[in-house]
Amino acid sequence: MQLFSNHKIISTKEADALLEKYYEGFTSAEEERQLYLVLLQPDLPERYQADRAMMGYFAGEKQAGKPKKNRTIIPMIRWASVAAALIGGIFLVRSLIEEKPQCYAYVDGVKVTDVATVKAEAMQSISEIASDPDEVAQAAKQFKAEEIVKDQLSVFSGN
Amino acid sequence: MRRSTKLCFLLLMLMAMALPHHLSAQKDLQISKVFDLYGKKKGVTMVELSGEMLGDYNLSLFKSIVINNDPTAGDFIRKCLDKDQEGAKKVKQVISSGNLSTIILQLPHKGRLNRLILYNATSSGYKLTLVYLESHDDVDDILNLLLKKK
Repeated sequence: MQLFSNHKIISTKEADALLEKYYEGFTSAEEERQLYLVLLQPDLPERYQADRAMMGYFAGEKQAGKPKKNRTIIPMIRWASVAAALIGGIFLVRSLIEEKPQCYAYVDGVKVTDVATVKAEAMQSISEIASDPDEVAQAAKQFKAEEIVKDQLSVFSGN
Repeated sequence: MRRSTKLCFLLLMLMAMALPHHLSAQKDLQISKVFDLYGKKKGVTMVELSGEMLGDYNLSLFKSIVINNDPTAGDFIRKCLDKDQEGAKKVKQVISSGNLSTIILQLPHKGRLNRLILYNATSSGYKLTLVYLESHDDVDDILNLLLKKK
C-alpha cells in the first residue's frame, strides 16, 4: 500500500519506519510534519488509526497551547488598560479636588472673601490681641499675611 | 468576597490615597469642631490662610480663631484639646491658677506634613485664641520662626 505525504508517495514500510523513529523520539520537525500529513489522509488503513489518534492528540495539544498564549496576553492588556484608567482617574480626581489657596475670614458670622478686607479683619483681630497700641500701628504699616500670622502667634511667645 | 466588590474596594482605596493630605489633615482633629461650631458666631473672628497666601512663610495652612467672652467655648476647646493630645507631643504647657493658659501640641505627622496646635487663654478667660497650622518644615524651625519674640 502507498501513502501520501506532502505530494510525496511513501510506502507503508517508510511510514512504519517514520513512526518507529517518532516513538523513539528521533524524528526531526520536518519528519514529524511528514508523518502528520500521512496520518491525516482520509483512507488511512485501520492499523494506523491508533497512531493517528496519538498524533492528533499531540497536534491538538500543540494547537491548544497557542490560544493559551492569547489568553495570557489579553488579560495583561485588559489589566494594563484598567491600571492606566485608574492612574488617569486618580490624577484627574486629584487635580479636581486639589485645594486652592484660601484667604477668608468670618467676622461676627459674616464671610469676607476680599483679600484686602480679609487682611484688614485679621489686622483688627491682631489689634485686639496686642496690648501696645504702637505695636498695632507698626504692624498695620508692614501689613502682610506673614505678619498677621506672626502677630497672632506672638501671644504664645511668652511676652 | 466577589471580584467586583474587591475591585470597588481597591478603587475606593486608591481614590482615598489620591486625596490631598491637607484636605483631611485637620478634619480628623477635635479642634476642627471649634472652627465649625464657633467660626461663624458673633463675637468670633476666624481666619484661614493657605497656599500662596502665606507667602514665603513655609506654612501650607494657617487657621486661627479668636473667641471673645464665651466661657462655654473655653470648656469646649479644652475638651477637644484633651482628645487631640493623645499621641501628640506637648511642646509647651502653662497652667495658671489651675486653668490651662497656654498649650502647644505637636501632632503626629500626616503624610509629610508637620502639624501644630497652639492655644492661649487670657487670665480672665475673656479671650481665647486657637491656632492650627501645617507645614513641611521641621517643628523646631516653625516654632523658632513663629514664636520668636519681637
